[in-house]
Amino acid sequence: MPLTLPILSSENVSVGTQHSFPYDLQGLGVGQPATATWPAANLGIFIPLYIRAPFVAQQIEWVNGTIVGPPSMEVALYNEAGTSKLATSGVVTQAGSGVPQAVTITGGIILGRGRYWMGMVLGNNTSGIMRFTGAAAVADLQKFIGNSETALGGTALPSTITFASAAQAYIPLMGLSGLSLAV
Amino acid sequence: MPLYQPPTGKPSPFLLGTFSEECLGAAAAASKSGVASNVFPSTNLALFFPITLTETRTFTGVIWENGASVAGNVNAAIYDTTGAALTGATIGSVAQAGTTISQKKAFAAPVVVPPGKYFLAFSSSDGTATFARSSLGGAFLRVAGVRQLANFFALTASAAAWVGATNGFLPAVYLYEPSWL
Repeated sequence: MPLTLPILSSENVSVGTQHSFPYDLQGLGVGQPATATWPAANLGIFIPLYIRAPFVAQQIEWVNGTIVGPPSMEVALYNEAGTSKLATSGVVTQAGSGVPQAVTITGGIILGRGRYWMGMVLGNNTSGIMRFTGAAAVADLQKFIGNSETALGGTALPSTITFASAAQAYIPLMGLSGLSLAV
Repeated sequence: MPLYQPPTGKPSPFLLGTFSEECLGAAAAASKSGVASNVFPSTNLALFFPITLTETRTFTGVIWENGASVAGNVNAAIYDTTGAALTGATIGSVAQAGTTISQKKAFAAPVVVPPGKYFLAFSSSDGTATFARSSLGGAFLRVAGVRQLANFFALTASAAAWVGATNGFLPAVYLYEPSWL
């Protein structure tokens, strides 16, 4: 008898969806995501991602804010321990102010249910990414989400994450798509 | 031979707290009450928020968000559904410090918690202390499973005398795993 595995029916596994922490964001008082300049050039921001069932990721995607530069950047997916970069956009040029940008994961990648990390880095602090930030009463929202930050010295994300406490209340709008359609 | 069916559903997160899906996050979202600084309901009151773990997790400590003014001390712990405190899962009495900012305290040693249902307990020794909180209404929190116990700041071994919540105070209080937080 063949084994049938549940596969996610959602086409999108991103910050703000059920696969991240939407109730935490709501409860901690975030508003609509808005564009904000990247906090510091070459700063890597890493946020958790929680996948509920086996999922085939076809694209890495994020939503640009107001672009200035444009800078080089990278977005990548890591395993739970942060010791393996599972998929990456590669170092690309930020393109398309105010709209999503996506990079195809060649061949797609099958991800099991579990906890992961997504990382992003930009090469300047004048260009923007759409992001969530906290309410006035929760100045350090990132502490309750579990963000990690690292000064990387360049626009390439590391092969492994060096976890460190995050100072920026900055939750980038990024994630994975199960479709290979243009965003 | 039975087939292995892997688990589904959201894995328990790295930080699990009052606004998480595993606690009262959906209730808070439904109420649309927002979050703001407000005084703790009463001196030495202990509040118990129901949480669910789907995997074994090792928690390092507790983090919470202070409000616009601080006073007295804070305590937090984990209890099981019978009202028994989990061994080692308490931060003890901690002086509240830092306004409109998070504060955290580690357990004496990381605590391993198996899957199941528990309560995250939180208490203040001073009824003028403020915390970032949502206000959901006492009846709402009561039916959502929140418990309370007066004069129980010390969060000692047994909270079996707890009763259903009568106030709507839902503070931002989380258990955390990462030691680097």
